[in-house]
Amino acid sequence: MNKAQKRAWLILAISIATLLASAAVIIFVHINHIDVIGLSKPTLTGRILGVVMTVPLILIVVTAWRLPQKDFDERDKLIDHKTVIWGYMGAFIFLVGAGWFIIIANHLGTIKSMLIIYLIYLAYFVSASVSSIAALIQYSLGGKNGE
Amino acid sequence: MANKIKNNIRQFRFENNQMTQAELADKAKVTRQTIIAIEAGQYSPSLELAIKIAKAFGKKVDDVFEYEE
Repeated sequence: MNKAQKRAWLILAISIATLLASAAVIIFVHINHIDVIGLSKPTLTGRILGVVMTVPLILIVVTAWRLPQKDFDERDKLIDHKTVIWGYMGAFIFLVGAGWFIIIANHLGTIKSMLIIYLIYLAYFVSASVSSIAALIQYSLGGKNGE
Repeated sequence: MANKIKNNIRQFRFENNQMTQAELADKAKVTRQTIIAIEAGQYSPSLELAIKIAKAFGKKVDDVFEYEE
């Protein structure tokens, strides 16, 4: 396992842990009858979700930024480029899906602006997860063709 | 889709004093994983890397890599 694969595993672990933690927070506030979309207790929910999502976001940005310079050849670069594309696709599909879900579920057409921020956070973690999975799959398949 | 670029890296490694994949990787300035992927036909190298690998064996690119129609 090279450094790029280790990095992919680390980012995947952080992203999945964040998505699970966020889901736990949302389930908790639902059980306690706190309206997440309406944010009847915006300070509490906002702070919890803010910490749960911002800390790992910074961790991922720092981890992703530190590309391994040593032992990083043309195949790694090619795989890295492809993973970025997969990551963007994942985020785009998630945001479009979430948009349609909101339109269908919330037919009144009004949402809190805080929800948009959370969706962007979530899209980032979905993107990070998808790109990490794409990297791991490509490494296992060999990386296909050079440029 | 099957990889149409075949290679004789394994054969040339053994003909060159049983050169290891790590030694070839050092000469071509890539990782051993990349050499493994190329040798297994899972990755087609760039022209630059193909030339480096051929030079490591003292051969022409055509001798090391073949394109199957």
